[in-house]
Amino acid sequence: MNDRELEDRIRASLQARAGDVQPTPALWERVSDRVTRRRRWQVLVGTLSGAAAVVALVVGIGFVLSQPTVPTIDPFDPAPPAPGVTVASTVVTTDGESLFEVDPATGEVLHELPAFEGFAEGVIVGDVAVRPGSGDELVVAVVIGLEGQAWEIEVMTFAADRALVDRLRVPGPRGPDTYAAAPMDPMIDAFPPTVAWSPDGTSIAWVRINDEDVQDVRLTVLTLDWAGLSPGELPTPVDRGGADSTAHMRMQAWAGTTDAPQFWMTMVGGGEVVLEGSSWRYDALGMEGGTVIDVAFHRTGTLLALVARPGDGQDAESATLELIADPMSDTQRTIPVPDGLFPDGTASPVDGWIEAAGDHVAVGFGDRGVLLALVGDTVEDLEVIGTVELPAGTRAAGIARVDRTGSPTIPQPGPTDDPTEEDLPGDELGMANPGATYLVVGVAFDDTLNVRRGPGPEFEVVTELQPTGAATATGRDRLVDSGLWFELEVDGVTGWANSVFLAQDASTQDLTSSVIDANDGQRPTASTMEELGLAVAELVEPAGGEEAPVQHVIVTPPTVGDLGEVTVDVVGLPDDSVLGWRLVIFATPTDDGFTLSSVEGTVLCRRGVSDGLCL
Amino acid sequence: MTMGAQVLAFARSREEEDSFAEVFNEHHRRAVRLAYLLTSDHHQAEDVVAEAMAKVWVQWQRGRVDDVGAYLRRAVANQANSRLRRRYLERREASRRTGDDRGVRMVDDQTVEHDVVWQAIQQLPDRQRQVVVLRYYEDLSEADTAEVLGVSAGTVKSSMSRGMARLHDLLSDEGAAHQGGEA
Repeated sequence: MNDRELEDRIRASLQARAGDVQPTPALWERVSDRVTRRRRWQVLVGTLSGAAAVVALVVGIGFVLSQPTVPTIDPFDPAPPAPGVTVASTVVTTDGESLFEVDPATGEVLHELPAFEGFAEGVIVGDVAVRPGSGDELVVAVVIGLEGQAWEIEVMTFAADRALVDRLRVPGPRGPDTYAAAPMDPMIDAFPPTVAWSPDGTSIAWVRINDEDVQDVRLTVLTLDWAGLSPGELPTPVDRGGADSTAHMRMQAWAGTTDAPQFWMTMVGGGEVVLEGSSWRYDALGMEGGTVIDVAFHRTGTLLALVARPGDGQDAESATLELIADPMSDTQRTIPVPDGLFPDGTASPVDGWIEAAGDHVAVGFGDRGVLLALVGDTVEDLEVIGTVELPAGTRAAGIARVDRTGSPTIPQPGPTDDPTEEDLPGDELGMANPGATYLVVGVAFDDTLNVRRGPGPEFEVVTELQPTGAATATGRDRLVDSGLWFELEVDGVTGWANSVFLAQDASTQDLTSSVIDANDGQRPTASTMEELGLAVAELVEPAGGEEAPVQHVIVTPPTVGDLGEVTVDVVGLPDDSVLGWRLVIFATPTDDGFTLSSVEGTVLCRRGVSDGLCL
Repeated sequence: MTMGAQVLAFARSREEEDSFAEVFNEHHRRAVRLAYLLTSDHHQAEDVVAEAMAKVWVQWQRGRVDDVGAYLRRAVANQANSRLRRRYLERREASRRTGDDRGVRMVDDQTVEHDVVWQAIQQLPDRQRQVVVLRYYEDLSEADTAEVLGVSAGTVKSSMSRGMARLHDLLSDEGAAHQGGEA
């Protein structure tokens, strides 16, 4: 084959491949979604200077308050737990379509909270407001955007097992009748409403838009009888003081007590608003050059503000975020956000949020889903304790302190009976070879491979396979979101395992001379058997680097006697037939460590074996 | 600027979005195909294009984009590159966890491949594959490829040379030597 023929074949292949690819109809929505977020940012940044004028206009009309009062009730940080009760932070996130309970320490999804009717009819917009219920219940309030620009508030109670046990649905900031007569307001469309829990957890609040005129706004407080979930509405008529900007306020936080509330809101375009009783106060929180994205109250009553500042490029990509404690005082303190949170500069700070519960503070960053966790009894003590990757697509989240009683308090989700053939999720691919023995591969020696009741991690674990274990395939398989799963028989137990950790073994070869050749004719040496094993694996097939996603996994703990021995799996070869090697490495102890004696390699096959060769 | 003026400004940007939809319609299909050739994953390809399109929009609505197709191509290549890097890091991280809930590697495993040329292209290291795709799918010169990838012309030249040599080896015997050698 000459160069010209090769080039022609490459061109033809790429054109044929490309021709098979058809964009999905949803692509424009994804583009539009991203564009909308960037546009929001431009509005925020572009109106910062204008906001100062707005604030100056209304400050003379408002009523200036003293510093925020310390909440007298804080059910978010309940009394010390009874013996046997663990109080832990939990985070509820949304990607706009579903709600997830997430472990803030690991980012692991504990539960997808059950869907409710609103999900089918609309999407979650704005914040997620979370508070603890009684015991280890969880109560979540969200705003649902419905077709026709109507909004509703959903308040859901989830039991300890996170089953939906109660639900309240009330007309939101704009009801269906409201919007029909009102013109589209693109600002409100881009900055959806938010809700806030009162500090004692009995009420929620949001900004309601008047039925007749979207420019006329009143703050409505919805009170919630906790025992019976029976709502009563307590509209709080508010004199807007002639400032039309109130149309674009977002509820951010509720401080004070239910009887003497303070509502903290931010105005789109900058400027913050406090309402106490029926009086407004406007302020800019001293955030010169920055925009307050969200606020929260620490348990001590100190205000925490998440502030975005435009960078050199005046765009979302170059913006930076700051967390500022007590911004209205002379002693305001900036809590540094660790460097490197946005290494590729793709964050959209306008989507940031801050939540506080007990001594925990959580800061989220846009749909990158990074969670920055801080903890401290006082604001002075607040320290960053780590960053956690939230599920991809996370747009907003709420945090609460919940009881976790006994062990486990959150039961394993999923069915407890063997699923029938009809109930099995996913598609059958026919890739599992019935009766064939599959080795467990690529699982570290201090780990195990779960075998579950059905094909997927949501099913209960029925047994475990050791890293060098094996099992017989029944021939059933299913392709689900988490991969291709095989049904296996393990010591009389039938269950499912992810086939990414399974392979059939082909021939075994002595690779000693090849390894020595690859090491410039020298027998490899190392100070430990573990190091020697990885060094030999590197000679067989290099790991690391973007160009070779090969992994080296030590699957038996190194042993040392007359000879040292260790087994290393080399998996992930870019080949659809050969998965990799299982290397059994022997070495002679020396004064300095170990010198390779011999290495045997067994070929691991992805699809099957015939005559000792991978299919 | 009053808030009313802000609303008007925002409404204007809505009109721009309608106009941007035309730009999208003209360019998105080719962009998705390029992204697919660079990532081998349809879902990832759309994600890459969505992000790239949004970056284009930022510059486009400021009137800073003369050639949308070229700008978009560059944004797609950059995005695809960072996705590949991230995917690799995710794989490494996944290997350290207990996990029957993984599935990243399966995306590759599931690629049922009948086209031996495409199969060989997928075996190329990322950089070699990028230059091959840009050269033979986008018909870019070495200089243009270097600009799109943000690397020197020398890097493009050497990557292309190694990539073509590898493809020649793989396709001369249709991969038989490759598999037979290991088994």
